[in-house]
This record gives sequence, C-alpha cells and structure tokens, in this order.
Amino acid sequence: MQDKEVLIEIKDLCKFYGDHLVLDHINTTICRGEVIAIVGPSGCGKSTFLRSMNLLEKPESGAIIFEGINLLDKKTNINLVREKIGMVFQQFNLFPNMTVKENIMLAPVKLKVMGKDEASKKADELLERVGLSDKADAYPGNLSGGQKQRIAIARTMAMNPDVILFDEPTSALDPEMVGEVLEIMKELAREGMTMIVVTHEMGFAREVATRVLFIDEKNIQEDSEPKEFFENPKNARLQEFLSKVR
Amino acid sequence: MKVNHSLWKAGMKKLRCYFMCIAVIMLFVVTITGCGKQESESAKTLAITCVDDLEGKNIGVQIGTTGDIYASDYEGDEAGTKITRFNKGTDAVQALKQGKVDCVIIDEQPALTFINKNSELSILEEEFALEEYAICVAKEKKELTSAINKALQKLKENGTLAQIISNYIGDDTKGKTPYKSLEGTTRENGTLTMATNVAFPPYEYYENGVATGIDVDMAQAVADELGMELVVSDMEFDSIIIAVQSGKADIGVAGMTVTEDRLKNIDFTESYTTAKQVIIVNNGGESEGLSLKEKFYQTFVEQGRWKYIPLGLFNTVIITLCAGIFGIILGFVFAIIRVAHDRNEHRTAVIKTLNTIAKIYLTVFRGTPMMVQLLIMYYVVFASVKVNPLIAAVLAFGLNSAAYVAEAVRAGIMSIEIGQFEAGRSLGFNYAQTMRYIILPQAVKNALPAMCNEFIALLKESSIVGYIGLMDLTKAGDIIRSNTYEALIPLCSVAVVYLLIVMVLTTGVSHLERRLMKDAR
Repeated sequence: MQDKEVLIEIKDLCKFYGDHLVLDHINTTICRGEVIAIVGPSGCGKSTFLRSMNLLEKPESGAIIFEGINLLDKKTNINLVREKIGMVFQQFNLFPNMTVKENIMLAPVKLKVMGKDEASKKADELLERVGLSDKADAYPGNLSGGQKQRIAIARTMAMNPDVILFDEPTSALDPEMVGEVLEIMKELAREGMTMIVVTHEMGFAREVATRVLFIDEKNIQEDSEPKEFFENPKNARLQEFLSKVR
Repeated sequence: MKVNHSLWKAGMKKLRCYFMCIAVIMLFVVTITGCGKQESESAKTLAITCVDDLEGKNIGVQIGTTGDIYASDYEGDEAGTKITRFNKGTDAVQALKQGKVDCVIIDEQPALTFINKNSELSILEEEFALEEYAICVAKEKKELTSAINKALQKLKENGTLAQIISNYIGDDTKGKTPYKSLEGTTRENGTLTMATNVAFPPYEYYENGVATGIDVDMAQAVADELGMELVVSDMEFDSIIIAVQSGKADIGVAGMTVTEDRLKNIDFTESYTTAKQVIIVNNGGESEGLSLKEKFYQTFVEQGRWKYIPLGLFNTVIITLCAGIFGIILGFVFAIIRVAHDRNEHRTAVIKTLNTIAKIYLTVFRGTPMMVQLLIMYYVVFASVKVNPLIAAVLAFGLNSAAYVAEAVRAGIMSIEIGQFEAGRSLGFNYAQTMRYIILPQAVKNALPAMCNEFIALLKESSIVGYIGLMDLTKAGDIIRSNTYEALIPLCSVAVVYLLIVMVLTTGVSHLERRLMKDAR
C-alpha cells in the first residue's frame, strides 16, 4: 500500500478490572491503511483492547497516541477524537426510535460536521454503497441482522472516520448473513480504510487483513502477516488455538 | 369496511364512558341517600333533652372550637361518650341530619341559622356554656393588639359594634343597619389580613361569593379605624391560629373564644361580643324534602353558586399544570444524577454527593404524606415570609411530584441497553448530548405511562389545598355544600368534573403512546 504513516501508537497499555489485570503492558503500532485482525480465545481481553482505543474502556496506565494526540492525556477532548474513530458493535446498537436515514444523519448534523443537506446526500450515498437504499425510511426493528450491521457501518462511515474499530461484527448474525457484512468490510479495506477488527472469522483474517494479532495471557503473543500467521505460527498457544478453530 | 369498523369502535367507546359516568353517579346517590335514611331512624330512639343527657352519646363538634374543647371533657368517660370532630360546623349539622351523630354543640348564632334552614333540627333550651369572642393576634405584635383594643373601645362607645351585631342578629333589626366604611377613610397603613373559616353564619359566611358577617364587618370597622386595607383569608378553623402565629395572617377572627390553651400560643384582644354554646338535636320531625330538580337549582342557580365551580377548577388546573411542569423538570434532573452515578465506574466526589442528596430527597418526599408536606411548606418553610398560597401549593406539589417522576424516568433510562449509550459516545457525542439525542427520547417513551399516572395522581391530590386557604374544585363544592346543607349534588358534580379531566388525560396519553409505538415499528 502507501508509505507507512503511523496512525495509532500504543505504549505500555495496562487495564485492570478492579484488582484483576486484563491487559499487561501492550505495545503496538498501527499505520494508515492497515487492516488488523485481532484473534484469540474468548475472555483473553481482545475486546477490551479494542474498546480501549476509543476509551469506551479506560486504561489505567500507558499511552494511546492517535494522530499525534495522547488519548490518556487529561487535556485531550476525547469527544473530538472519537469523531475520527468509528466503531461497529456486535449488537449493532442502532437507535430503534429513528429511521435508518435518521440513524446515519444524527451524528454529522448534531455535531455540526456537515449541514443537513450535505448529510442527507452523504447518507444516500452510503445507503447505496451498503445496498440498502430502499430501507432509508424503515425502522431498525424491521431489518434483518445483516441489514442492521450494514446500516451500522454506514452510520459510522458518515462521520468520515480515519479508522474504524469492529467489535466482533458478525458474531451476532445468522450464518447466512455473515457474507453480506464481510463483503462490505472487504470493499472498505480495498478502498484503503484503516480497520481494526476483533473477529472469529479466520477466513476474513486470512484474506483481507494485512496483519493478524493473537492476544492471550494479557498480551499480544503473535503479530505477523496472515500467510505467516496461519501457515507458520511460532507461539505454542497460537498453534493450539488454530488447531481448534480450523 | 375498515372505516366503518373503527367508527363503530369509537362509538362503543363513547357509550362505555357515558355508562361509566352514570354508574358512578348512581353509586353516589345510593350510598348517600341509603345511609342517611337508615341511621336517622335509630337516632329517634336516643332523645337528648338536657345537658345531662349528653353522657354516652355521640357528640358532633367543629374541630378546635370551644364546643370541641368543652365537649372533650366528656370524652372517654364511663358512659362511653364519643366526640366526632368535623372541619366545618355545617359538616357537623349535616351529620346530625343523617343521624351520624346524636347532637351538635356549636355557637348559638350559627345554630339559629342552621335550624332555620332545617326544620327537623332544634336547639335545646338549656345552654351548654357562655363565652366571649375576641380577636387573636401573634404574641410578637403587642402594638397591633393595643391598637385594635383602642379601636374596639371606640367602636363600642359610638355604637358601631352594636349596629353591626344587630344587623345580623334579631328578627326586627336584621339588615337594617349595614356597616359602611366612612367616606374619606384612608388606608395608608398597609393591609390587615384576617384569617377566618367562612362557614360560621352569621359571624362569617359567603353571600354572592363574598365573605360577609358580623366578624367580617367588625374587622372592616377596625381596619378603617387603623387606616388599613382588610384582606379576608378563608381557611380551615384549626389552621387559623397557626396562620396568625406564623405571620400568614395578622389577625384571626372566627367567633373565637379565649381559652387557656390558646393563650399559651397567642394573644387575644378585648372581647367584642358574647355568645352561647348550645346543643342542636334532631327532633325527629320530617325535613321538607327537596326534589332533585330543586336541589339542582339550589346548588347551581341560586345566588349564582355555579360560579364557584369554574373558579375552583381554575385553581385546580393551575396548580396541577404548574406543579406538573416543575416536577417533570426537577424529576429529570434527579433521574439523570442517579443514572450518572449508577452507570459510571469512575464516580467523582461531586456525583457521589449529588447522588446522596437525590437519594435522601426521594426517600423523604415519597415517604411522607402529601398533606403533611403541603402544611410544612406553608406553615413552616414559609412561616416568616408572606407568600401567595398558590405558589406554596405549586412548590409543595411540584417537589413531591419530582420524586415520583425521577423514579419513573430513572427506570426508563435504566431499561435502555448500555449499547445505545456506547454507540452515542463512540460517534463523538458527549455525555449530555448522548442523553439528549439518544437516551432520553427512548427513556421518556418507556416512562410515559408511569408519568401519566403521576400526573393524574397529582390532579386528584391537589384537592387538599383547601387546608392552606386556597379554593380549588373540592373546596368549591364544599362552599356550596356549606351554603345549601345538601351534599349530593355539589359532591357528585365535583367528582364528575375530576373524572372527566382524568378521562381526557388518559385518552390523550394513550393516543400519544400509540403514536410513539408506531415510530418504533
């Protein structure tokens, strides 16, 4: 891809739940245009790690430097930073009292990122991209799981983020709907969007990701390109993990 | 087909409402008339002819009056004498008519008015006690007491006082010498607020919607002497002394007798007239039964009494609306404080303190009766400040309502998935924006039924504002009742008006709910 411009730098990140340490001095760097897949056994802290990157979970120590700004600095206005870090949830979290189009337009309009007309145009574009133009006036309650997740992606795209965090985006979907969501994500990746994806979809990690991280025992155990990651795993626990999921 | 169906449904609904109203009215009629007849027959067997017969009987009195104080000596004696205390003299008389009490001990003049209007009642020849009426003034206001004493002295000497009394008492002199303020009377010395209970003819009663009577005229004459503007404040009898003590009123004038207990709390002026406590009994005679039509005429048309109803309704609506809005605003604030605390791992000291305050507030306001809160607001919180009772009522009801709204809204917010909040925050909204644009619109929808119930409860609970001297819908019915000695029509009309408002409210909210539901589909 393009030359490597650092987008996110994570230094010595530690996170506790009460007295229980869940992330132990994590260090990594994410460059613009990368598609990072994060895999690992359940309960290993991979979701916590992802949610730390926009401070939905607040780490106790370390630094998260996004576009040169340390998110853990008390002076940082986290709300402004979050406008540039999109997030897609396992449970979609669409606003049930608003139509699909209102869901997409709410943040750009209320946060004054764009005017109403511009936001409306943008929403139409995004709906077309996720193939749901006909659902603009529907309410989320009338959509299938796959449709909901495609709208959730469109909603986060409306803010023109520099990176999108995906927290197990296909785990709550019926198997036949996983494909349509992964298709949208692949397209985003092709367009050069920086993405960090916590997933159980090994196929996606292998085909689309530029890097795969394996998290276990409170830290990153393996960090390599997909071919290397799947065909020549070095970490013993990763070897065991891969033998189970395959 | 569909249109016809919904029309038919709407028609049925209207019919059902109509039948419901009728059923309620019938229920009232049956209960009231039924009870009345049954008990008056048993009353005939228990004749009282002199003071000695009082032992073992059920004696009706007006609460806090000298009749109450004297009769209380009988209470708990071996003969099992029972004292039933009423808020108004007229209520006691009504109970006597219906046989709920055996006799009523009350001041002579009101007693005469009562038996004039009710032929089945009579006064025993033997009087119960003699007493002197005086004006009560707060202990701190010695200057006012002596000024009133001087004025009374003058009014006695020049015969004004005698004229006022004879204008109301005595068949030959009645209405011949009405009191009029002298021309050129100045009122540069401010207002003189008189606390009274306007249900005690001929000392104080309503005529064409205006408080009048011996006490009112006498107080007017005193105010004229003092160069002050008289303001009459109508309240329950047992609130008068508290009102004067706390400065809500300057003087209390309500056929009040000087007693030991009262002197502990309050000063009295010289007496302005003497009176007797007498015993009214039911003589078993037939009352001239009025037809429903005549009762209706008496209640609404005579003296334009219907005017009390819209006047009272106005106050009821104002109190409910203002307190409702106030309660919703404050309730939201408390709900958000509670949620901010419960849904946040990193609690700052400020949030913790606010949450503790909110918790105490909710416990206190939901754990004490509304009536007590209202009285505390008016007679304790605003003890030393002159405040419009309407404002005190709006505040008291608003604060109470806020506690219930807060819990409804909190439950509404807590029922929203945490993911909604996270979605809002991850898009770049701050806490307040997430609440406003995402959480509250959904929470309000969830809380709407509970909030509607609270509003209806508020409307009905406002019926106690009579205790701080406000005329609301309930009090309006009471005033009419104390004028006509007839309970059925005033009480039922008031009940129907409340019922209609509640039905309109309920319909409105279910419409709103249905509309919000449609959005979610």
